[in-house]
Amino acid sequence: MKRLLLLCALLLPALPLHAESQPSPQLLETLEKNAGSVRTISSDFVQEKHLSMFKNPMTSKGRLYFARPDQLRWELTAPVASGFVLKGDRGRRWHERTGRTENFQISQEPIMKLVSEQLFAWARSDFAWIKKEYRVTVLQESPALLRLEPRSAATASFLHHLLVGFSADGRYVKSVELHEKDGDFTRIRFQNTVVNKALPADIF
Amino acid sequence: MKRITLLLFAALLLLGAGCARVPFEATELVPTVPRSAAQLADGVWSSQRGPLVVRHSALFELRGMRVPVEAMLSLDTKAGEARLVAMNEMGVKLYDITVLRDGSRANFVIPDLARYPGFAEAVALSVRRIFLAPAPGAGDQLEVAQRSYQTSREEGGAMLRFTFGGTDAQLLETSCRGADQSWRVRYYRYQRRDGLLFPGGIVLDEDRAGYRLTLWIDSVEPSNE
Repeated sequence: MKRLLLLCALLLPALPLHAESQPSPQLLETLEKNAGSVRTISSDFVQEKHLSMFKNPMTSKGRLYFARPDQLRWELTAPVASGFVLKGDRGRRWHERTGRTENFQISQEPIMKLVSEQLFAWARSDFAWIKKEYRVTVLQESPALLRLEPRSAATASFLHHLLVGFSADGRYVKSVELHEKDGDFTRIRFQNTVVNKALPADIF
Repeated sequence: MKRITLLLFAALLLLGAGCARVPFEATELVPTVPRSAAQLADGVWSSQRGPLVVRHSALFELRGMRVPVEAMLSLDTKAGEARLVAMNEMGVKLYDITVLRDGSRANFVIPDLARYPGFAEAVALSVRRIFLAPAPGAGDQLEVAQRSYQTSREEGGAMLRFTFGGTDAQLLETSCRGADQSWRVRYYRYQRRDGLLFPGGIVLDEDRAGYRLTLWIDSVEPSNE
């Protein structure tokens, strides 16, 4: 389950992303610099699950909010409403099917603690973590497109690679694809992304 | 105890307690007309066409614990086969299991779940009860009431009962009571979309293990295969 949550964390992008790259260190330096200037992000997203056995993908819609240093809201709005908020050492989650909203202390819930660590490591541009977890290559410089392959065998047993695409100005992530070993994949496309706009206080 | 544990995992990972309120309204019953057990069995929603694709969300409930899941199901009742792919809210695939009337095959189970012995078989059991078997048969004993039909038969030391009703005399409930098993599946909110009749809600109560599995059917479409 930890690996799964690590994976989930990686699917919460529209956050600044940095990586090592042999082909083009200048590109990654630029991405790093741009990420450092990001204080808030809000974005809609469309999540598509492509399964080889089904003709049409499973599509969900949602919205993401992030504010430095440690606030994040990830919510699905359709077809089923659900989501969670991370704020400092506290969290809150909800789900239409359970009919419940639950508050929790991140430190007291190992799973959410792990999730928050991953999310904020990315948000804070923690290169040490990214380098430890993934081998990163640059597939395209403009707009930037990165490929990340898990280093650990456990993660690699269900995740083949990730593709992370950036906006033209390199300030935020436009798309993420999570490719599984059997060819199925999840694509998240971020739309209407707004950077550094003040967010309502009650969003977190 | 081991069997109970497996059943719990089945529900947890299949799609998504206690016998609390069902989140679907009861089907409105109408006066019955003469029908045979064979006609009732032939009219069951899942066998009305070829293979179907069922998208749904589900909730597993046990002693206050509530676990939601998203899933896609490929269903071919004529072939007696279903294939379930379940995901978490972020699209991460948790498992992919093929269910047959008398067996199952795990095509993929995420490692953190695969370590539980019998996991795939347990998932398959819930899928089978809800979508495949036992199914009403032409030879079942039939009782016709003013506003509902009930067919029944004894099988494997347990009594199977199928209740039908509503404007299309659809399957409303399957129950199984025996020395070593006690469960029932209820079907709600029958609707017709693009010519396909299907229930919008399904509830499985497993009495021995004490869990409830609730399914919200988002869509049912003909399979492209």
